[in-house]
This record gives sequence, C-alpha cells and structure tokens, in this order.
Amino acid sequence: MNNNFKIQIYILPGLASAAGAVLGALLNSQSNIILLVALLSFFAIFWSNRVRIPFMLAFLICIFNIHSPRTSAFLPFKKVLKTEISGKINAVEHKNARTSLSIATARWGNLRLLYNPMDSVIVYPGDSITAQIVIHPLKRELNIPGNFNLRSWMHRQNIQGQGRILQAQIFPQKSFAKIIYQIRQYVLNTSTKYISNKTAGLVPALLTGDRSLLDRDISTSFRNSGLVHVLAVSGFHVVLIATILQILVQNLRLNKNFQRIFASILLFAYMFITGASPSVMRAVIMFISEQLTAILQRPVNSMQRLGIAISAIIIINPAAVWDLGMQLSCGATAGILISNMVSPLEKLKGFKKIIASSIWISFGATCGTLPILIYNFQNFAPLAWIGNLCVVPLISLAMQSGIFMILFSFSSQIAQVFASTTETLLSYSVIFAKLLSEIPGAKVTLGPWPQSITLIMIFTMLFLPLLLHKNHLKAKLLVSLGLACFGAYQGGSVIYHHLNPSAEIFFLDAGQGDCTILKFSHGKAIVIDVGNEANRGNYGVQQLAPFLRRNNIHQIDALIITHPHSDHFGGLESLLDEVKVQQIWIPWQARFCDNPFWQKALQKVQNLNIPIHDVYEGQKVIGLKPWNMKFLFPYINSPVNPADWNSISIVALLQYQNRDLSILPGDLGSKEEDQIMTTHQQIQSPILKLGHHGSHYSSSTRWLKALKPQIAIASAGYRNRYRHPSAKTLARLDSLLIPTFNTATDGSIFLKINAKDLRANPYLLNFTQITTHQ
Amino acid sequence: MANIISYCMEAVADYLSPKLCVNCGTAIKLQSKSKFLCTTCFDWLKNCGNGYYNINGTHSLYPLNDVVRSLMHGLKYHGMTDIAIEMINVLPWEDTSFMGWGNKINIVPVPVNSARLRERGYNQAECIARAMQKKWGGRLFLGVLKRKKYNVSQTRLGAEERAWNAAGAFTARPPLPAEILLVDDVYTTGATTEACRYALMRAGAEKVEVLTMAYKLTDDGSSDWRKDWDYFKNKKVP
Repeated sequence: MNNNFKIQIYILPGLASAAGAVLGALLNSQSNIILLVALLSFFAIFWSNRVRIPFMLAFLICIFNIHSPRTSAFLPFKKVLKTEISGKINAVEHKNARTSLSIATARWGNLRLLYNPMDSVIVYPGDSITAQIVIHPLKRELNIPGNFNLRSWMHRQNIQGQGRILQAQIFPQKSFAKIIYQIRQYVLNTSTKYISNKTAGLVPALLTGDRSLLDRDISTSFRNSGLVHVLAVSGFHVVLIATILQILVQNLRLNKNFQRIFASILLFAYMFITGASPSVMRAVIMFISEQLTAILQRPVNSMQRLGIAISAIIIINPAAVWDLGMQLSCGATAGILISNMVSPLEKLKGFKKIIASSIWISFGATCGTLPILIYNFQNFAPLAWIGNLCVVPLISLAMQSGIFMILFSFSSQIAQVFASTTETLLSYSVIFAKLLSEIPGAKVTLGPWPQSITLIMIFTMLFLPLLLHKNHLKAKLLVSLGLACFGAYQGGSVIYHHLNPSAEIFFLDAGQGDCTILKFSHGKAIVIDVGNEANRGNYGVQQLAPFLRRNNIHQIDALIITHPHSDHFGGLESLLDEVKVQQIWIPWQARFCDNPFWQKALQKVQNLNIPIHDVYEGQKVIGLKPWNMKFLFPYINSPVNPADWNSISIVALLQYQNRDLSILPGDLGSKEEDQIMTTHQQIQSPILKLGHHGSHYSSSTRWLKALKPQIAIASAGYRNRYRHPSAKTLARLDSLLIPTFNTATDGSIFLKINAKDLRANPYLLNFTQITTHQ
Repeated sequence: MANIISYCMEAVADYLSPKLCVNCGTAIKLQSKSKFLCTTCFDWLKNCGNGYYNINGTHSLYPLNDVVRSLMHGLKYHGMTDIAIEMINVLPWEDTSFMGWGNKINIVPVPVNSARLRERGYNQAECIARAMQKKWGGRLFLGVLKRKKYNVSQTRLGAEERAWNAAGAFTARPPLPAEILLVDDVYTTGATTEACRYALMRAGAEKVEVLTMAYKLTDDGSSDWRKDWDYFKNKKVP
C-alpha cells in the first residue's frame, strides 16, 4: 500500500507520547483527555504537516469548548416547573407506545418531553411547536459505579431537562429532517410488510440505524458473540453501501469524476438517514475525501484521511471524542490500515487470498478495538473473527437484497423475491450468531485495567500485526516489550492476589434498602440482600447486575436474604435472570411468610433448581477458606412472627481464620442484639453495618460497646420517610467516637481488607468525578 | 487575484492530500511547475524529453527510465490523467515536424476493452492523444479502432504470448483518413501496435505510423520486435 513505510519515524514519537500520557494519567485525574490526546497525536505521526497543525488546533478548540461555561453550565431543574414553550422539534422517538420529543427552545435549551396526543396527530421532526409543559426535576441517582447515569447521559446529549407535554399545538413545516424521518419510516414499514418473522427488525437496523423493532434475543446473541458492531450502523455499513453505490454508478457511463461526485452526494444523504452518528460521519468523510483526492489526481493516504475525518468531526461536535462508537470506529480503522500496510499476504492468489486477507483484516480490527473494549466492558470475544468471516458476508448480502427490496417496493412481486432472500440470509446469520454465543469461552473477561496499562495496550495492539512481518526488528522489539509489560502486569497481579489474600466489602447504594457484596481474592462472591427501593425500577437488573459485571463477578456463590421484606429481597427475582446463583440462604422462618412477591420469588428459585438452605445459629458457608462466614441469628427455636419479620433476620459474621472482622446484620432490633450478646460473649466487629438502616431501635449502646467497631456503615435512602439513620443512633456513635458512613450521602462504600495486617481501607467513590464523561 | 485564489485552492487541496513525487515520494512545494514530480525528477524528465527516438520506424518520445516508468504507472493505474498533458507539454517541439509530420496529423489512440474502460474510467492512450492534439493540433479519431476480444492485460506476458494475445483483437471501421498516427503509451514488443496497424491497413489506410510515449529497450539495447512479428505472421492466425 505505502512503499515509504518507515518504522522508526512513527514508532518512537508514538511511544514517547505514550510515556507522556502514562505520566499524565498517573498525575492527573482527568486522564481521559490525556489518553485521547496521546492516541490522536500518535495518529498524527502518519499525517502531513498541513493536516497535523489544523488537527491540533481543532483539538484545542474541542477541549476549550468542553470546558467552556457554555456547555458545562448544566443546570438541571430543581423544582417542578409549569410553563409554556415554543420551539422546534429535533427528534421524535417511539418507544413502548409512547412518543418522546426532543425540542430545541430558545429559553430553556434542549428539552426531552413525553407526548401523548389525544387525537391522532402525527409529529414530524422539523415541525415547530407551542406547548404547555411540565418539567420534572431529576431524581437523585443511586451512587453505583458501572450503572447508567441519567444525569451524565443528559449532559452528554446536551439535554437540559425532561418532562411531559400537557397541551400542544403543532405547526407542520417542510424540512429536510421531515423527509429523512419519512424515509426511515418507509424502510421500517416496507420491511415489516414483506418480512414476517423476527428478522424484520434487522433490516431497518442495518440500513437506517432504526433499532426500535429489533428483537432482544437477536441483539443479545450478537452481543455475546462479539458481533455487535454489525448491528449498529457504522463505518462497515457505509463502506458496503459505498461499494454498492460505486458499482451502480459505474454503469451509468458518466464521466468518472461525475460518478465520484454523484456517489459522494448520495452517500452524504445516506449519512443523514442513519442519524449521522460520529462513526458513520467518519466513514462518509473518509469516502468523500478519497473521491476528492482522486478527482484532484493526488496520491491517496488513508491514514491522512482518517485524520481529516477525526478533526472535522471534532470541529462539528467536540463531545464526539467521548463517543464510544467513534473511539471503536477509529481504533478499528487504524488497526485495519496499519495491518494492511504490513500485510504479508501479497504473494497469495485467488480464493486463498480472499480468505487469508479477510482473516488478516479481522485481526487488525480486533487489535485496534480490543483495549478500548476491555477498558469499557471488561470482556472481549476471542472467537469474533470466525463470526466476522461467516456472518459479515451473509449480512452484507442481506443488506444488498434489502436495498433492492426497498427500491422495488412499488411492485410487490419483485419485492417479495428480494424479501425472501433477505429473510433467509438474515435468519442464517442469526442462527450463526446464536451458535457462536453459546460456545463456552465465546466471551472472555479481562481487566479492569488501569488507564496506563490500557494505553500501553492500545499502542501495542495497533502494532501487533508487525510481529508477523519480516523486517522491522526494532518494531518487533517494541511490540514484544509492550506485550511483556502487559503480561508482567497480568501475571504479577495474579501472584500478588495469591500471596496477599484480601476481601472486598461493597456496601452498595440501594436507596432505602440493603445490598452488601463480599468479594474474596480467590474469586468467591457472596451477596447479602438485594434491596429495592419503591418506584426505583428493577434493582436486580438495572443496578446490581451491571455492577457485578463490572467487578468481574459472574457467579454468586451464596446469596443471603436476611428476611422477607421488599427492601431486602425486592431485586431477587430479576437478578436470577442475569447472574448465576449457586445457593440461597434464608432464615427457616421465612418459608412461612405469605407475601405474594416473596412466594413468587421462592417459586422462581425452585424452578431454577437453586438449593435453598435454612439458616439458623451455628451454620457456616462452606468453601471460603481462609475466610469464614458464620450465622449468629436466628435461633432454631426463634418463633415465627408474621407481624414482625425483622425479629428473625439473619446476622452474619465474617471471620479471617478465627478473628472476627465484621458483623452484617439485617433489620434486627436491640432485643435480638442482647440475645446474640448473651450466647456469643467474645464477638467483636471492627467493621459494623448498622442494623435496620441505622434505626434507633437497634444498635444499642451495649451492642456498640461490646463489638468495638472501628467504622460503622448505615445503608439508607436519601431523604427517606423513616428518617434513617436516626439522630439518636448517630449521637450514640458520636459519643463512642466511631466514624460513620451513610450510603445516602457518601454513595456506595467500599472496604478492602488485607489478610496480612487485617487493616481495612475504606474508599468512597465520588460519583460526579467518575461518570461526567465516560 | 486569480493567482491568490489558485494558491488558496491548492493549499486546501494540499490539506486533503499533499502532493508527493510519483517517482521518489518527496513532498512537492506549492505552486511548483509540475503536479506529479519534484524539481529534481522534473529536470530529469526534461532532459530525457529532449531526445526523440525513432527505432525501427516507431516514433518514441521518452526512454522508459525510472521516472517515466513511474509516471506511466501513475497514468495507467492511479487515475492521474494529467500526467499525459504534463509529459507532452514538457517536450520542446512546437509542431510534429520533428518526426516528419506536418500540422495536420490524424491521431488514432489504441483502445482498451470496454470492461477495463468501465473499471478505470478512461483510456490512457486517449489521454495522450488528447494532450497531443491540444499542443500540436490535428484531428482525433476515437471510434475508428475497436478492441474485439476481452483479452488479458499485456503487462505480464512474454513476447510470444503478447503477439498471440494481441492478434486479431482489433478491428478498424472505415471511413478512415489516409495517413494515420497511431498513439499508445508504452512500446515493449510492438505486438499491440502492430496488430492495430494491421487492422488499420486492412480497413484502407495508406500510411500508419506509430507514436508511443515511452520505449522499452531490451537488455542488449536493441529491439527484436520485427523477429516476433515474423514469427507471428508465420503462425497464420485467422
């Protein structure tokens, strides 16, 4: 491809900038920016001076733009506001039989509003609207890392507030956005008209990026087999469409330059139909700049085109730098281009070459995206290249026939032929994706890595193809150095964990509920209670499962439900769908609870053949050595008291060998505390979770004095109606000089216990710092 | 003013893709004389453009040295059609008297087959012919010669294979001018041009002379195309 490929020229500055970025990452908390600067300045080594300088300028503008008061003044509404607005509709979304409009107003900025019109008014983007609206303030977000955060999402989307429309008047107007919306709807309707089975939702998803009809099973199987890039319209689709376009335009027998301009214009229009996401924009700009260089009769340099595309996107929308699709798209493109430069397959011919080069391209793309994927999702699919080889040709053929189906939709017979072809191809690809996702080891968990290791990995992986190339000894040396660095990190961390066993306790922010997770360095995990605050949606699916996934917990060895109250078991039922649970421990009395939700959850546990253990005093969770988990309460003769389930809640004791570390009670009162203290006179608890969310009926002074806690944690909701943790309890703790943390104000609280010195290091997570831009 | 605008346009185009020398890969400065060559390579081209070669009755403008080879490569495979104009404009002659022709030349470019024409979008011989017509005047005859067969590209074949490949590939359609200048890009064994000449003569042309942009010399410095041609004629191809 490029004969003047000189390794020393770009490897050394690349590594220098990487080293600089690592240093910066260690020093600065906002290392995300530094990571990006390093990555992009590294790309810049491929470009000519004329691109590099404008690019750097664009990047400076971007950083300035993001930190300027205009965009960072995100002021969510604090009170319910009822006003009248007039503005222009930017986008219309239909989801679950509800319509939500995003409206640009002069006074309030962008608003996202629910709209349920009484009579059947059809709303198009581009129309202007005057409406009476109610803007709701944002609820406090639960403070759990790894979760969807509405506030930061709104910030990134530049939406100032959300609410609903009470009354509206819509003035239809002719606009470009309306035409595009109609085209998208047309594609959607045509595909549902001619294709009957589940794959109907795939056609608009592939062609226009409209995923509203996409089947959930299909998308999960694509995601699990590492083929999710096929479903989101990105550079790959644009390249396919562009090739089809070029072949079609070639047959028009126009002048070659007219052909190029024509294809560029069509592709530019296509970009708007797909919604102009940054990755699509990147591909389109790269295509158009290639056509322009061909018209100007200049040499084509793909890396330079990538640079032009990135800088153009940054100027148009600075926030695109944090768009994951954009990062993945750039990484994949760079990987493909670099691997193409050093392709060892030039001598092959014919069918062999086709297969080998597609494996090579897939390899390059995987290398480019792997570190970014691991940094964000902590997993990657090692078998994705097989999927790419088999599914991508099927999908591209299906896209072609899908396009013809839509073009010929005026005659139902021709469209039917193309539709049946599309359907067959798509269902084969779905079957294949499902097969791939069911292979054990289709998804491997890695990481989470610190940012510095991610950076080193990005540079190493981008140049991994060089290892297979003949010459370039220095490059080989550097790549193997990077790999060795990574291997040393990974192996070193395994050895470190083996030599220094540790346990982590996560007191998750569960609102007015409990959720405590114990994770041991040998890989076992225990979850105590799956709380659920009322009106909070589904805690198990929405909050706990993402957190577990992020923290590398794919199997719960023991799930302990302290007692059958909804703030302790509410998320149980939904959690069972997401995470594998080995055994469930409940107090034996809880079997007699006739709460319908509790019985339903128990029924589900039985259906899944998960063993339920009855807990009473003296039992242990087996297989945690050198750690111990003992139960102190309830007694085997504690009576069933349907009026007060709190009185039988489980109290668990965590030990290292024979030393008490922590007591984790449910909602027990001070009477039960006294009972425990009479049977176990020697127990201590350096780390204490306050019983009953810190209510003043529990955590008596006697209990606190006996346990001698060094730190106390209360798990309570923000401004809950029970006023937990109560002032009396806090006064008691204060008088004993015990530092207390509260999940409502401090967010999720993490404790790490090292077995050597049994010292616990609490660290709180400042939520705003972590997820403002991610 | 026009100068400034053209300068700005060039700067913008350079942002898109900087001009690199086709031969040596060094960057070309803004507003330099050549679009495709750096100053050293351009001087080199000028020097070898001063000589005109007439080898075995075939007129040739350049020897196929490194610079010319990379230029021809760019013209043929990278869509740089302006190379033809530049290479003709570099030549010092104001008319075709240097090779015994007057101002009224009748130019016929060697055609490519339609599949390749669609793929590439242009015919490199036609580009050269147009450039010649622009500089030296004369008439261009485009529909006269046609390539019949979808034969393989001549580039990677030996002398004998080339002759076989080219034979009978062309047909000429009258009306034809009496004196024809046949234009091609590179002369290697002469198989293509000889087949064209044969077709033109059969269609009624009286005098056909071949002009190629570049001439490839064999290892001993002489051409053996006539030997090949005899061999080809003895085979009695229909």
